[in-house]
Amino acid sequence: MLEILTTPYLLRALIALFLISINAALSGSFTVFRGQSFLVAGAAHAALAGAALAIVLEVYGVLSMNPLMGGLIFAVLMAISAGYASREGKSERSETAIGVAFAVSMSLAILFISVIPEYSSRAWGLLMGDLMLLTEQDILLMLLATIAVIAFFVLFYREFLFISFDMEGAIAYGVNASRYNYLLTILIATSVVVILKGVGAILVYAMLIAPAAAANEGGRSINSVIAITFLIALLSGLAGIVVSFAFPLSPGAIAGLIAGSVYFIKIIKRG
Amino acid sequence: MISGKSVQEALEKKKGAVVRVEKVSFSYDGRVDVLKNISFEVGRGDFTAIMGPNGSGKSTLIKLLIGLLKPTTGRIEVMGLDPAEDPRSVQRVVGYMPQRDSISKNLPVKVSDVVLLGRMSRKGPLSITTPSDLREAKRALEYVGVPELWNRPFSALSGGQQQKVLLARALAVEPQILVLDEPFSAMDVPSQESIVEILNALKEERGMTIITIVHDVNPILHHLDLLMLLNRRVVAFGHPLEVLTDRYLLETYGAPVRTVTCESGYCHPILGDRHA
Ligand SMILES: Nc1ncnc2c1ncn2[C@@H]1O[C@H](COP(=O)(O)OP(=O)(O)OP(=O)(O)O)[C@@H](O)[C@H]1O
Ligand SMILES: [Mg+2]
Repeated sequence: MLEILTTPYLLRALIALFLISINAALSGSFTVFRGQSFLVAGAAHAALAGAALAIVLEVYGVLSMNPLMGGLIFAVLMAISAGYASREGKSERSETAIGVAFAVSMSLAILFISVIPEYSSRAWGLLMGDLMLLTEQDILLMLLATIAVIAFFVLFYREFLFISFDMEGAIAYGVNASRYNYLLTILIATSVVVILKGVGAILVYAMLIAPAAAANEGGRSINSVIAITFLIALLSGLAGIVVSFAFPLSPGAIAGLIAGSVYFIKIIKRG
Repeated sequence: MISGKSVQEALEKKKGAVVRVEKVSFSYDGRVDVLKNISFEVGRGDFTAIMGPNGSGKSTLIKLLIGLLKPTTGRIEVMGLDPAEDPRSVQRVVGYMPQRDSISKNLPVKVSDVVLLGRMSRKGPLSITTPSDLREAKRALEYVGVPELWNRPFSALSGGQQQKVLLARALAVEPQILVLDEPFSAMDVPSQESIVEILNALKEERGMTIITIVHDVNPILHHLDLLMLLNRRVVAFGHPLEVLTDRYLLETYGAPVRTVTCESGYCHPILGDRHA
């Protein structure tokens, strides 16, 4: 039983969980601050289409890239179009744009997968996630993406905060709101892809939105929300991994259930 | 205290116009003109109020002044600069306080952050908060009378407290022009009075030019140099003694507005009574 702790798969799962929690803390908090959870769903499904396309291209020998990379490109394109639709702060318009892009992405994903039926399980794997089946290359990609996310949040924290709090005021005080709106949206999409690789498209919400939503309930400061989000994501993920050793259950699903429950318990306690 | 200005004084004011608006029209959708053929001038150190019913284009007008929107036709000059061409330079001299309902209540940002955000953003991305920034931010919060709120989450404050914090944010950038969108709307009467005193002191002591949108003009009426009645077009503009007449008020609000004349000769509109 103990030697399992030293298997590379578990080690990779733990590293991935750590990276996922960082993304949940930074991108998740700002998604909740901006009320943009729909963007997350849109980016997740765009990523699925991108990953499916990457697999198709690989199967046909056109070019070989990690499906995660294809997912990242599609998710970022989706984010940019959503950012474009909401450039004047019109969130309804961006919701509709994401909704349509969502539909297009899913159609494309299914189309791509139907071209390569014999490899479809690889693409569908991204729908369910595979925390315990990550390769070293996956981890490397997740690590690089997370470092980029951290770097941009550290550099432009103030700008992200200002446009999330008061878009109009931010512009009036000299912030290039449109630039930071795009950048923040792209970072959120990047985090979506990192988390997607770990827990799957279906559960991206569970790891990216639920912990931050729970932490933001009655949160006292931005920093405490970010820190608490990190802890909720990490602990739910660890619990998921532990449970998945004892029972044949998906670690991502357990983590999502725990994070979601924390949110509802906080809501109910608040009354 | 309210004696009419001499011709000489008025002429000098004219020369030092900080805001000049010429035949400006604006439309959001390219079809309906929200503002039509607006022209007026505000001099250095003038305390100006803009009044009008909901949807009359007040917020739109001040967004045009600070370059958040661009006129469809016409020309605006603020301290000799065109906000449509060079919004950054105009914004650099302005302290802006948006209408409170344009602000998100969904994040636990602290009052200290709110006051500092404006000042630090002016310094540009990647700038470091210095002790003098902190001092100036704290001083601004003290100036509006709520230094004890420094560490509180903004979203947990009352509407009036939030407005004082937003005013402090505008003051912390040490502006030459203050542009305020309904600064009094959620304030109790003592708070209103204290803010009016503050604004008046800024005008008298620092020669600050102040342009503010108000629904209820009465708390500031006696301090005003200029008043605009706006309903998509300028119904009346000038000294409040000339502007506040039954006829202009009727034209602006589309219904008779009850007024009370005070001992200084000012005609006070009682807008709240229209619904009674
Ligand atoms: N971003 C926008 N896009 C389209 N139309 C808008 C936009 N903002 C305002 N309007 C419209 O322009 C008109 C003027 O709006 P504005 O906000 O300037 O009015 P206001 O005088 O400030 O009203 P209030 O007293 O309610 O604050 C309104 O009819 C409003 O519906
Ligand atoms: Mg308004």
